[in-house]
Amino acid sequence: MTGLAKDPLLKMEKINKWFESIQAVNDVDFEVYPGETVLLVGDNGAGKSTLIKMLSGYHQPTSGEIYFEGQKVIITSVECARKLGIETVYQERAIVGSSSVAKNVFLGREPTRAFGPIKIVDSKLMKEKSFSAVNEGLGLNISSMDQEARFCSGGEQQGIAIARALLFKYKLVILDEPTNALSVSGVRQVQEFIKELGKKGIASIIITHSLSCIYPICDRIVALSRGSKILDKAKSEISLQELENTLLD
Amino acid sequence: MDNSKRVTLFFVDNLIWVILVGIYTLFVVLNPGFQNLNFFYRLVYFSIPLGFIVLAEAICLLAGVFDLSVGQLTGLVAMTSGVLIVKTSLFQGVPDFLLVLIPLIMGLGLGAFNGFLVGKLKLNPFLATLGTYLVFYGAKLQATGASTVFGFPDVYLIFGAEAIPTILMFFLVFGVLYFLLTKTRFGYHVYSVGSNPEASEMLGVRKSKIYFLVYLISGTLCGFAALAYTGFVGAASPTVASDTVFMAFAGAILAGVSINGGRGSIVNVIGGILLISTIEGGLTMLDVSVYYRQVLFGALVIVAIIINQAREKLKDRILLPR
Repeated sequence: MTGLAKDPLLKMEKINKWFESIQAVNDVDFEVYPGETVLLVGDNGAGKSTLIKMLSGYHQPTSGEIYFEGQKVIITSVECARKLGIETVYQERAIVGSSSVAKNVFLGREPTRAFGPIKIVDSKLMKEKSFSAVNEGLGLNISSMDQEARFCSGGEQQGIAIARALLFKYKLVILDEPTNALSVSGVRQVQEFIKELGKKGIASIIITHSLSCIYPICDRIVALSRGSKILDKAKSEISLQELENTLLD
Repeated sequence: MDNSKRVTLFFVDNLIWVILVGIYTLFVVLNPGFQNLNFFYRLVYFSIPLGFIVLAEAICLLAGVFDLSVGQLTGLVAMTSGVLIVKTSLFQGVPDFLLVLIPLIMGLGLGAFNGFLVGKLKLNPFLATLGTYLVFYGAKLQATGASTVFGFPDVYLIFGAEAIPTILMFFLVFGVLYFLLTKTRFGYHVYSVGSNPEASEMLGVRKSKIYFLVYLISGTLCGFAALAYTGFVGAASPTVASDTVFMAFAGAILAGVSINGGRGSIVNVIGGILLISTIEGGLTMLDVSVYYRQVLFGALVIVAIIINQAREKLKDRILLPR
């Protein structure tokens, strides 16, 4: 599942990011291989979110290059990131509470069918596909895709956010604090989701403070501190205890 | 969901119609003149000019913004179109039936101005449209000399003067709006931006684009209102639609459109429009004084807000799974 023998899917080379006089990211090299699950850790202010936002189109690096599938890329917007095959699942999960589950899954990418010269939303297809992604693909049990998303539990909402990644065939999914404020069963569900992404050959970057939740399911760990990379090891090369100790220093 | 819940949910979602029937029945009891079916038909016809303005406000509310300038925009369009058509030779050679496009295009243009301020410059919608309220008001009086314009061609006045073309025009426009809001990606995005603009933005829906388009539509609907008011009265008056913004809000809120954005049915807005007309018509027939009517309308808006809050809480209780 790590595919280290192949070329990296994503290569961030000598990335620097300055916000006026503050350096948020300092000369970072970061790679992700196809199908790999990378755990990205570090304290608050370490630069993890900033690094990731350069992949989702929110920021541009002050200097450095990004390569995706071997090609140099400049990611200027969410649409741009999507076209490349990168999807970000945010901490806040980007859920519209008063919209239905189906509408949330397909937000921004609603499927359409032609009605003469006009395109209308194919709501039936939306419901079918979201049902199968959320219930069959992710093992949730949401009975109606018309249910408003605000009535879903935290784990279910995370599932909706991740279902987007499953449905739209991304190559790289970034999850920012996916287990935040979830119950034990919610955390378990998220772990299963991430494993599911790996099974489908989708690479993922997981940012989290909950090392014990994600360490068991990752392939490699990268740690940042004050904008610089301080660790980049395969899971087999470092135990959870050792990882925690490194971060405590 | 069991059947009793389904029935309750249906009533909760369509409460405006229940209230409309109730109030109408009340007036029928109080005043036999209401029983006449022809009276109802005329009630529908009379409510159309304001109806366009209520729709304009409703679509803004759905997207999570406001348009305080709706009334003044309508007035400015009506007056300026009037001056250009009747008092200048600008449209001399143009066939009469094409003249109806003038207020519509003007409404679109002024709506685009609102859309530019909120969408592109990202100004606060309340403040921006408060500003344009004042600008349009001043422009209306300054540019047109503030005197009523008479002498429009008959074809121009027909939308407003005659019941059937007016009602047809309204329902045609409403039909297009309904289609846009419920069947197209744009409509889905209006609701999602209205409900959670940040989440929508994160998923690639540009809220600035949605705001711009919504104000465009709002302005165009005000253009239709200008046409209807002019036809109704047979002239373009500087006071037309002046205080309608309050009724526009009232009509939309009464119909269950949420002030916070992202929730509400455009079909129910028709109910809100008819309710306002019914109350207005009923109070007129009962010879209630104008000032007392103002008090009653104000009280009505407050009651509407209370009812809607209770309605939404009840709906939440019904929809909560398990």
